[in-house]
Amino acid sequence: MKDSDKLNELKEEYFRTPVPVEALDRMKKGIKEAKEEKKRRIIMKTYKRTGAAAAAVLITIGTMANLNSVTASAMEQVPVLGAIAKVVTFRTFQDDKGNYEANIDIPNVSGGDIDNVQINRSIEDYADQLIKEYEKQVTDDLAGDGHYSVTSSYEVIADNENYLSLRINTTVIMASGEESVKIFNIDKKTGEVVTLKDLLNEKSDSKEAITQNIKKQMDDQMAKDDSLMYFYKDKDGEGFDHITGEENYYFNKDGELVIVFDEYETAPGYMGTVEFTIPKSVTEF
Amino acid sequence: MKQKIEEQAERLLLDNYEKYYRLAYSYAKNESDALDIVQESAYKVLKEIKKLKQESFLSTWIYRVVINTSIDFLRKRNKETVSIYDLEIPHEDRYQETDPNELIDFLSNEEQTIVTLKYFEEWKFEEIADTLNLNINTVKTRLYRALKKIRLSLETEQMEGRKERNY
Repeated sequence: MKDSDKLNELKEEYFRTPVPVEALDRMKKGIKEAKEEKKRRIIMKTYKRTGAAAAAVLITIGTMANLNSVTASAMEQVPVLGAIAKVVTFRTFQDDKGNYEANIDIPNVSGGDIDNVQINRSIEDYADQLIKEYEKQVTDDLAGDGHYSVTSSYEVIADNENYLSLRINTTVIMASGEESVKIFNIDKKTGEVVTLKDLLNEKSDSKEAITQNIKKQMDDQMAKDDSLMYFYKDKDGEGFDHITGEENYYFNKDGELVIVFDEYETAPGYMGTVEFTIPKSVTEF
Repeated sequence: MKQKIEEQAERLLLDNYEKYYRLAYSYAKNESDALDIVQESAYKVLKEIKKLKQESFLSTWIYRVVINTSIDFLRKRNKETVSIYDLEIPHEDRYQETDPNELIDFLSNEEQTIVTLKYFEEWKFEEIADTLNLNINTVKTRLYRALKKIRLSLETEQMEGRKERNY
């Protein structure tokens, strides 16, 4: 018998080691334990962050660049929407201080007939909040042993005759990673940012209909696929309660309303941000 | 958009649980301990993932966690074994007979892991070195030493004419 035969035999034996079904459950259990400890931390963190966001003030680009010598500004032209209106990277905030890292692309809507001053201000406000929180993390860390990384990028997820939907994806990693989404829906006629609240304003019935539809979709998906998990209030005591109008949304290419939830809002962390497509029969538009 | 590292780790743990279990089993040599190791490893991976600086190392890093957890576990188990009861009634290692990996039992834990990763899981030397925190040459040397031991044992077996195995 040759060495290689012996090794093959050993290999076969290795893979014959029976793996009990319980192994997967125990894996999940270990993950859950870690998650539960982390969730406690995240709740505290969210309180902190909300406070910081409320205190955020508009900082103009000029002063921003002066505040931090490492702040790099870049101008780039990325045409997305052709001649009518386009979304370009107006500014990129980049910083790297070892354990601290920021990479924030800040888009602007330009061209077309729409009044984009207000939209661009909203977008910049949002980006400035991210930058401010980042700088705060750097300044607060006197010991210099912390970690904070923020990455923000954008994409145009929908562009139809009525709306332009610009999605901003942000990942913040400190003790643990956190993903958040901000979508700006721009009414092409007025140039205004349209929130879900604005959209559903005249139809209070559809709010309830959408709420019920989302809960049903959660149940259906969980029944179909074991690896999916959602929480909603009437059933689990926590998680999704009802549509508030603050949610992110966009219209997909079939013109259906898609509601986007941030991480942890309706589901455990491994599900990331989750989206629900609401059929037209429910939204009635 | 870049997938979140924690989410990736979770996916890997759930997708490859069989691989991690087998590796844990190769240390623990019994089901119940291997299951404990698997659970503890999953917990540690998610708790300590912030210490991981580079995402590209995620997959090998998880293996490292499993290996270290296994070693810690054995250490604890051995400590427990040397209790007063064991001193009075020396017991035989019950796992040996049912263990499908008994052929490589005479290897040290590290040698066994290197053989497992190299020949069974078909890893590159570089990945093994990274996981075990050794340099590539050390991994190679130890692998050859392990192979030599396997060959020696093979020869011994043949000389002793162990007929219950059909070679």
